[in-house]
Amino acid sequence: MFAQIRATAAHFPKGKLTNEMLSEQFPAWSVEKIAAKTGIENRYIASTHEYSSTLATEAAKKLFEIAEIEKDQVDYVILVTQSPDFQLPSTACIVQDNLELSNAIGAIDVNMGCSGFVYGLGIAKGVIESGQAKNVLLITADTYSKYINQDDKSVRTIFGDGATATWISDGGTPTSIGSFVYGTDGSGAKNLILANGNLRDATKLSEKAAARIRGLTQGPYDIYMDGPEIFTFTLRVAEDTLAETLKKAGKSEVEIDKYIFHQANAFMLETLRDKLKIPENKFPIVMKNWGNTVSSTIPMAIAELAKSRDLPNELTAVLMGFGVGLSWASVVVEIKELTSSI
Amino acid sequence: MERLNALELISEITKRPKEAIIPEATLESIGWDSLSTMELVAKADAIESLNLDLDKVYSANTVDDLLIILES
Repeated sequence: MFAQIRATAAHFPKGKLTNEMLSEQFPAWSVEKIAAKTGIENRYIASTHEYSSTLATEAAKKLFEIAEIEKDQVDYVILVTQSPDFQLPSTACIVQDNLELSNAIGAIDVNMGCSGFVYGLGIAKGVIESGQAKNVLLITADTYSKYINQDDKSVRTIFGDGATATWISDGGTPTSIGSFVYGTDGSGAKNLILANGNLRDATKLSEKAAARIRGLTQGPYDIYMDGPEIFTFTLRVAEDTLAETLKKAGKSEVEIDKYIFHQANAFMLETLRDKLKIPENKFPIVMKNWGNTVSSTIPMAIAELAKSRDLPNELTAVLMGFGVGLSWASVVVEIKELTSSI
Repeated sequence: MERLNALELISEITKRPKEAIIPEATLESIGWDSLSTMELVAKADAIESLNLDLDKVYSANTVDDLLIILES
């Protein structure tokens, strides 16, 4: 009774935000400059009537179709999101109803961001290998665009909306999903935070988060990201986290086929790739068409690699997420005959 | 870090010849933005002797302010 990743599907809303559109609003930032620094050419943006539950539902429907999954096979839904439809109830419960899944299943939200997919895998593994469920529907879904002040170019250039659904079921081996390494540093919570719209005033944690300090007119949320601080933290933790993950898995660097890291932005990933001395062909940077979709970037990258036929039929990969929290998580997975769609 | 090396670093990041970067100039006038600070973080990470205090970098208004931070 060991958990294994079987299939993954991604879904995007129809709305787009291209570099041309950004450059028109912020003329000092040319199309070329945005693309060169971020590695992003387009982001998908949810409409007023699309929420995380909407995207999650569509991603799950796509997964059911490509992997020929029947609804009654789902035993448990794990939905990773930081932009739930409501503070309460859980979006996972709404998605259970949208998908007309059985009432006799577990369904939880996990409030994690960039490290969320790895956390989701950890929980799915626990649920399956402790005998609580045979099949887990792991969803990642976010609509960060709803948190963004339209005049804040630093975050508008980075984040896009989207969702993924991944099918995890028993029948694997002890090493199909294993060797998790987690890290947390809440002292950096202020570096990626919603400035407004919380029960607690976030500007008390960080004055810099306040919209007026950033020269913005206050909106309902005004997500704040101190990019250089997030970057500094990532450079600080990634090396040791990778070394510890490999050590725990008893693997050497050459035994890893792909290092699939959270697709934050191309500049950060290229710097990390150089620092960790990972060959380019093993370290994909593939988010140019969809941007930083928070907890969805790792499964989206997996599906993107499969689409471009750069994903071997059987491979061993390190998955690593890092960011909001501050939180980071890493795992070694063995992916075999994956069904995917993006 | 020597002042000249610090100036070269700023020149490399802003893609302007170092002769064109005068200490009195504001960082904004030489095209310094949040992406430039990201690049500075990456370059500082590769220089063992340079521990970057980002709060100080954020408070810098002129090239000279930044040079002083990089020199210290």
